[in-house]
Amino acid sequence: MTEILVAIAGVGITLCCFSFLYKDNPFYHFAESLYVGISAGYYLSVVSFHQVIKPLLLARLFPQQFASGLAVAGPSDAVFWIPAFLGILMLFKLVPSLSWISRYTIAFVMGVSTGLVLVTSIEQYIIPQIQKSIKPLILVDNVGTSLSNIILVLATICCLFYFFFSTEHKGPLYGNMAKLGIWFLMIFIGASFGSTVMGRLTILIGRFQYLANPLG
Amino acid sequence: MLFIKRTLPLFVTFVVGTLMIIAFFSGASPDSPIKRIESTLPRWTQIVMAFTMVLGSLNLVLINLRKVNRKVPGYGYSIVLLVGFFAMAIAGLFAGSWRIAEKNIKVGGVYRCLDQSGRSFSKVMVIGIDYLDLEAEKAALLKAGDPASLETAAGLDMNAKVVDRIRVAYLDKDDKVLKRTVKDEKGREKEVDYIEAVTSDRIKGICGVLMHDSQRILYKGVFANAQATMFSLLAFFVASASFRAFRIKSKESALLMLSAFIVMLGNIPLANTVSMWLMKIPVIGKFLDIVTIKEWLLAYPSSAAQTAIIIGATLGSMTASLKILLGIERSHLGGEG
Amino acid sequence: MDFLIKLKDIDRRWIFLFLAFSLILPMIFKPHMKIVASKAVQELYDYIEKLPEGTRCFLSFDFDPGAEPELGPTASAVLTHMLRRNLKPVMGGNWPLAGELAERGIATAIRRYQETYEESKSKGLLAPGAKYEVKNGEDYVILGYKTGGTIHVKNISKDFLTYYPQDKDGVSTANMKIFQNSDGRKFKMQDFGLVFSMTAGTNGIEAYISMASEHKCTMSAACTSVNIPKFTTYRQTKQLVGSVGGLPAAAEYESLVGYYGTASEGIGPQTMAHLLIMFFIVVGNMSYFAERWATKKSK
Repeated sequence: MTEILVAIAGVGITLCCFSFLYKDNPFYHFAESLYVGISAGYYLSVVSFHQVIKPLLLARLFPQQFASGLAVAGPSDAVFWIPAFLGILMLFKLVPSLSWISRYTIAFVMGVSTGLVLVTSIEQYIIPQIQKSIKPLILVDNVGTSLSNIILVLATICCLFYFFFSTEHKGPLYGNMAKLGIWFLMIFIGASFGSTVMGRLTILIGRFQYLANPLG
Repeated sequence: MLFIKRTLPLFVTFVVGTLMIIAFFSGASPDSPIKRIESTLPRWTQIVMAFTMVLGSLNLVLINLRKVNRKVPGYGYSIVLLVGFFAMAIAGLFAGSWRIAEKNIKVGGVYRCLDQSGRSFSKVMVIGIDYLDLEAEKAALLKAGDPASLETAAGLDMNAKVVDRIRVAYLDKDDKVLKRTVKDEKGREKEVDYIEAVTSDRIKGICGVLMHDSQRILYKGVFANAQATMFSLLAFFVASASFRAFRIKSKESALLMLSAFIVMLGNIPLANTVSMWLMKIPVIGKFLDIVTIKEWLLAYPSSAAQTAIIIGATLGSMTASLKILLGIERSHLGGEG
Repeated sequence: MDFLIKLKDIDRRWIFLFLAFSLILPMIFKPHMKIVASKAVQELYDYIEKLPEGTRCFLSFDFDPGAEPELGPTASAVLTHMLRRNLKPVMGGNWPLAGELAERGIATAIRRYQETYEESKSKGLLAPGAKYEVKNGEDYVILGYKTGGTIHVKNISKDFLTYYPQDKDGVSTANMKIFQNSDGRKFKMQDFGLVFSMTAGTNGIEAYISMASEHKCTMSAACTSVNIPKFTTYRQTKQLVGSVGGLPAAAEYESLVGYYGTASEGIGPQTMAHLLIMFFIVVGNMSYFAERWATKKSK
């Protein structure tokens, strides 16, 4: 019975959303509002509370009430009042005159995040990308790979030239390299567009497959 | 007051960020205070981030309540939104597992047991509750010997009663215990009572079943389908845009279209057929395998551009992080005051 | 010529209708398309194939229902493959609906695994220890979502179970069989034989790549089509072992695992719709050039 109700609700809401393709209409707005309301309710109850706040915070503060398994017999950890306090400060954003209080929480989160970004970025993003771009340019026995490697290195340098905005893209070397950089970026954007088309179509195919068999 | 409202938060960011950097580069042992700070601060951040979701939801409710209160045009949709929100929030909160509910499970009581896939319920009678053997658990923790296990073992309340599994017997419509066929050690089939030991979260009363099913209808029926359909509408607009806006107006746009065409064609199995036709062209034909060209395009020119983007974006995010850490960039703290 | 110029002003709803038909017709007639696994997909398949029985693998569901048609088939195909090889999938995620999508993925995988159990056994596709019954908490577990993205990955790299004290349904993970090491050692993230993220945007595999120096696990990923160019780069930097990009790659994985799933079914409509969009681009440009030519002529 529940599965049938799920299918009725699913097909109904799908058709309401598709009705927008004909023209803007109240069915679409109804579906849109219901979707936003339900998603907020879901994120609040199932996601934030049951999957994060309960196991990571409440289970540490009140193990008898919220923990499970062996943790129920564990002691309450008072240190966790600090993140609880910081989290509650965040809710002051709802009161315009006191919203500045939430800045402490934002400042704390930004501090941790920026600290992490600064120490991990070079190792995990810049160095591997540079390593990838260091290739042998001339391979005597393989002209094809040589050409490909030359293009890879040249394209990387040209695109980096293009992304350097501190000076104007002018001059025979700098200007032309930046221009070549644009061309390679266009190839990349074209490839991305081709992939994007595929992605969007896949989602639509998924919808049609669902409509063909909503109980599946 | 300006110090408390603006300067002190900037100082907090600086101190916390600097601590994280120092801790990362310090070669101290994992149990040293600095390394403990490095593991504690992200842990708190994770919890705090959950409150931002709560904030977002509450803010949405307040805005829409205000709209309904002022009867602004289209306030009917705000009512729909609020009904959806409260229905989902209530169903979601009560459908989840609660230890209070676990305490109410009585031996001999008739309940509903959720199957492993989370789709349907069966009628069951609780025939026993198994509790954790805390002595054995403590011994295992002490045997493990790592600092975290030893700490847990030391803090255990040995008088606590912790439910491990609940033994249930499956019932038919007339409340008789169902039978199932099993094979004994000698491979002979015999009929036994259908009994299973399950975790307490799977045992629900009638109210729990109602909440679980409501949540399923709202999430799986409405939410998941609405989201997928909203995204899928973009396919129609991509098709429309490719007809109306994808024009070759310059050398750059020609290059973009050529690349898009090759990737689109290379993405479909038809590319192999097209390649076979193209191969019949003398001399250059053997170089015109669409899938190979697509792979090459992605692996060389496109990948090189992507590398430049990743390097540029990483340098950009590092600069922005440094500016935030040093208090030069302050927009994340919001408006005036 | 006039016809081409007039085409410019065609009502977009006609375009929508053409697109809808281009998808529906192949769904009805089901044309057979030959699917050949690409190098990236084969690389991942081979890696999973070689993992020792009983190895635990972490699958991160970093997408939402909007990207499910692209990543859902990959999830169930990879999970089916893992069940056949008697590997133990541990499913978490950095996107809020990770738990729900994992539930769906594993349900499909278990159904397929059990439906084809005897057939797979006779073909020698099953690992010796692969049993028909698959138990939650012992053979797989759904841990659900946790906030934080990169921060969460940093946390679990240091101490996995502290940050996943309960599974998605609130059951304690401490005593789960799947997390027990034979030598009694506490479970660590380094015990995973593979970290596989199904990424639809930020906080997917990149969160794991950022913290690679801390968890030191082998990584692989599936991505939405939009991200294919980016993920090609991560494979070249050897940060990923193989990758599954979009629906065609998911269909390739399905063909390697040996079944005709939703991704394989989608290849026909996908082909038709691609051809239609290419046709639209060509006709759109013809219309544009016809108009330009007519304007030049009138001058």
